[in-house]
Amino acid sequence: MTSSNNENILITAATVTAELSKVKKIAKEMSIAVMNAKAISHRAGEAALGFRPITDFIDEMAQDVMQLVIKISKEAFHLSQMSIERTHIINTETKYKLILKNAKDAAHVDSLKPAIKKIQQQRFNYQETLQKNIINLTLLLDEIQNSTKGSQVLSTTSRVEASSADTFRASLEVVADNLEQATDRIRMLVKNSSNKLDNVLEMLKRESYK
Amino acid sequence: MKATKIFDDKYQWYVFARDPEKKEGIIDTNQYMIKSGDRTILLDPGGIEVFASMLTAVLHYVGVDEITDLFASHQDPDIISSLGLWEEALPAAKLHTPWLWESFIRHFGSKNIKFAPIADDGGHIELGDAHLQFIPAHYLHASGNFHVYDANAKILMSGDVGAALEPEGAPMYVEDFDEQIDKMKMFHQRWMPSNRAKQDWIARVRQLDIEIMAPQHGRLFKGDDVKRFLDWFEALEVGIAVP
Repeated sequence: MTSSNNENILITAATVTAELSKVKKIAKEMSIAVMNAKAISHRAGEAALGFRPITDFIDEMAQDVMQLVIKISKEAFHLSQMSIERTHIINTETKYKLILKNAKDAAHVDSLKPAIKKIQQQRFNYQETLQKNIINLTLLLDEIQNSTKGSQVLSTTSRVEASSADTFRASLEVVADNLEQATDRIRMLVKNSSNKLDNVLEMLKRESYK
Repeated sequence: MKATKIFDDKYQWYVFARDPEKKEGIIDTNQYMIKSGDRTILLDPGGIEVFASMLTAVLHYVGVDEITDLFASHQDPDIISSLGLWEEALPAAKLHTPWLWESFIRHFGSKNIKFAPIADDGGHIELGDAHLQFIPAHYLHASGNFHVYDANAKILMSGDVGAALEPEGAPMYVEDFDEQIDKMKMFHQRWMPSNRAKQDWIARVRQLDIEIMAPQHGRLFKGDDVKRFLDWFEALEVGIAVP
């Protein structure tokens, strides 16, 4: 059972990394769109004066998300590494226990026992490290959700400010719409990743109670 | 796995082979062990697939705490892919292996084991009463490759040289050399790439006093069959797959 759980961890880590590369791409697109919006609001002059600080907020949010994605990707890679090492320890433990059983009549079978004890300790350590690693990842994902929490307010404010931008209104409304769609997608992808990690964490906890 | 003692004096040589638990499609391998005083070395300890059978068999003769050294003639998986499994029980053991392959062998899940790289011109170790020489056998078949010679026991552990593809449960020793040729010919012609390296190795090995030549696959050669093998190998053209 533990071996297939480990496969789940590997798949989850790979899925989280893949989902986050999508998040990073969206954040990057947001950042580019913001540069465009800044240019439009500059051309709109006085009529879009209230829009400019909003673009700064959006840019800051996109940058925060991109930074968090880099951190999360590193953690997810660490999670993959840990689960591969844990797979090795689980397989080793299985083989050693089989040897202990098959060699029960061997003169030197007891010499294996300290090694098995050490291997079991390593497995417990990996179990603990993996749980901590997953909790860290979940917290970092929460940070993305927190960073994008204000996006709804920002897009509403953007629309209000766009409405007074005369001929530039339509262009700035597109920026507001895009912002809303982009953050919705980011939040959905992050939520999916969080759910997957929660499932793995639950699975690991159940395993450690056994 | 069957264990056979092939030398017994102040120290002992064992061969572990003919694993009945071996999965289908996996080449059968001969693993060797020399137990000398409080030191034990495993020569080409085998792949992941034979690890459990191998260690189970070894425990009848030595404890894991007595295994102080490992030797890998080259980097192939059937030689040493079990390294990551062994090292969990042998934290203080040393692995003697061609310097050329150290960074490749580390891919077999090795984290802690101490490497003792063997230089191209060979080397030796003292293992209790046993004096073991690492004889260069480069390109036979791996580009960095060593055999182990014990002058006192008159045993040459010859890696892939002398190997044969045998049916399951084959005897441990060659019984009829002429019959053995069919089982060895393709192996040597296809796996050995260099006629020049082959002749160089034969010239070196003819200088040694050998009673048993012990390959990593197939049967062991004893007495006159060693000379018969060298003569046959000398005349054999290898590296034949080049169109």
